[in-house]
Amino acid sequence: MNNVVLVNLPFVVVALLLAVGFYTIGFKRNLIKVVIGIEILEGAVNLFLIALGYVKGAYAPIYTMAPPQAENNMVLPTPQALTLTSIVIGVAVSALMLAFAVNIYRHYGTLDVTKVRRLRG
Amino acid sequence: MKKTFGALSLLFLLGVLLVIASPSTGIKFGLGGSEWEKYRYTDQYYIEHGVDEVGGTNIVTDIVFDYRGYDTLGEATVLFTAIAGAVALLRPWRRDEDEE
Repeated sequence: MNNVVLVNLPFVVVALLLAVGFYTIGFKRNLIKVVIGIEILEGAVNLFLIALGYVKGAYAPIYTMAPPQAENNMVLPTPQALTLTSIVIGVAVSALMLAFAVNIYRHYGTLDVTKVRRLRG
Repeated sequence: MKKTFGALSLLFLLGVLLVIASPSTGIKFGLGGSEWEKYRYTDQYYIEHGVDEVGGTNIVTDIVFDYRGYDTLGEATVLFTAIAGAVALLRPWRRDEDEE
């Protein structure tokens, strides 16, 4: 049992992080904490992508100054490219969410999601 | 009532994720050898032909800017839109100026 967890440790960590992120989004009432939960979800997804591309005993996919045994023995490059894209999109989304949070605080005077629901002209 | 349902669905989600993360029923971490050829032939192609076809020695930048260049274009568009949206949201409101 212990060995099974250790073999797939990155994926188990990803599952736990996803659960923590969904818990934060669903049960926290402060808007900033909800944004933090979404950020945890993004981190989990990025970690999953990178862990998916790992190959045992492989080298970084760069041919500059690579040792000869790195030939055709490299970590998968496509998940790294996807993660690069996903990190930038995550930063953009978090900037927008925080701008919305600032606006909501200015308008309602609170960041509590249950109190924001009352519309105020 | 709603809270218990949420907690139960969260536990169910965690269980499904752990089943997927276990090596016997789901995905395996750190493949190597012959399994590499079976699941990752696209990356094998990139690694073998990237330097000849694109010319860069860094395979990740070859993929980001040449093989999947439209992806990067969309990413730049998303970043531009997000910055425009944040700037539009954080500008001073017109009502504030009236009150002052």
